[in-house]
Amino acid sequence: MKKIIKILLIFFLGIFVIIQFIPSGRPGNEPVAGQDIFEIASIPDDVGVLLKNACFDCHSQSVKYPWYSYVAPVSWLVARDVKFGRENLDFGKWGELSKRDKMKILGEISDEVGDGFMPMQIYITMHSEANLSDEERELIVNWAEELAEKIFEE
Amino acid sequence: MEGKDPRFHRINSINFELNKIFIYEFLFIVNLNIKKMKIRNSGLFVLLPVLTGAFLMLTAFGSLDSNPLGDVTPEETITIPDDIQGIFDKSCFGCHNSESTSDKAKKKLLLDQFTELSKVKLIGKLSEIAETVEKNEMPPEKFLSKYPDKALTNDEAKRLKEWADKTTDDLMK
Repeated sequence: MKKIIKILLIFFLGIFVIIQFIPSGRPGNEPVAGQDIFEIASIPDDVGVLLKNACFDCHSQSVKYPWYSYVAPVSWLVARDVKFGRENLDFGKWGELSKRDKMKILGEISDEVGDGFMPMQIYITMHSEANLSDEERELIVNWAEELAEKIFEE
Repeated sequence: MEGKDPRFHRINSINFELNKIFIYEFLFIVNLNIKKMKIRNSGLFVLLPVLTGAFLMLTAFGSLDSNPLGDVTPEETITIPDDIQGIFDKSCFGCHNSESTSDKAKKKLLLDQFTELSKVKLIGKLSEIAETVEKNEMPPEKFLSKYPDKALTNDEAKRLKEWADKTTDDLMK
């Protein structure tokens, strides 16, 4: 009985060690000068802090990876979320978007953040600073809607 | 509810790939347990891989709680031509209306109040419609497996996208 437990523990440990050698595919940061939303759009300080705390770890080119994002299998999940997040919205490449795409994205930001679909629950669990209050959500929603109006008027 | 949103389809399929390794691991352990040990002593070892799998699944459904905010200012902005309205009625309205049972679909798009949206919001939503139709993300596959006749034909998808693009261009002028 004890022997089997030992064998199983060694088995799990083995699996854990082996999966560390599978590349996670975690994307790096490649900021492009002049393309970041902070260099282009007007963002009030209070909204800026919220965006950096709650969004930028997936939707930017300044992703901060915590230590556990280097350990499989968590590293795979983080890599997947960042890749998928950037595909949908990359604040680091804001300047590359057309006027229409910017308005589309801002509409989605207002929906996703306002309706509580973003940030993802799993991210909030690991990052308490991303746990936005209703007031903070409203700040982001109002900012996104005002910016969309501004871009429309341009 | 998750079936209504293409993102969940996608995340789930990627998740499934990731989960394969844990499924194999699970089967291996269960097999081992049945062969070599009494089941009642092996709860922990069955539980471990199950919990790992559950953790992975949770990441896919992690963002489902809701927190409603925001409101809409009524204002008649566009009119929808009859043939486009026909496409909406056939393939979209069933979920995207204010009486819908799908919360997610309601929050994304309300076709019964669509023309009242502001210009800026309409440009956003129309661009989303064009993108969704182009990527073939709507109606969702799960929904279509139950109601295959609700699928957009190629011609309908083309007309819907062209209308959304043209209306956006007009609104941007």
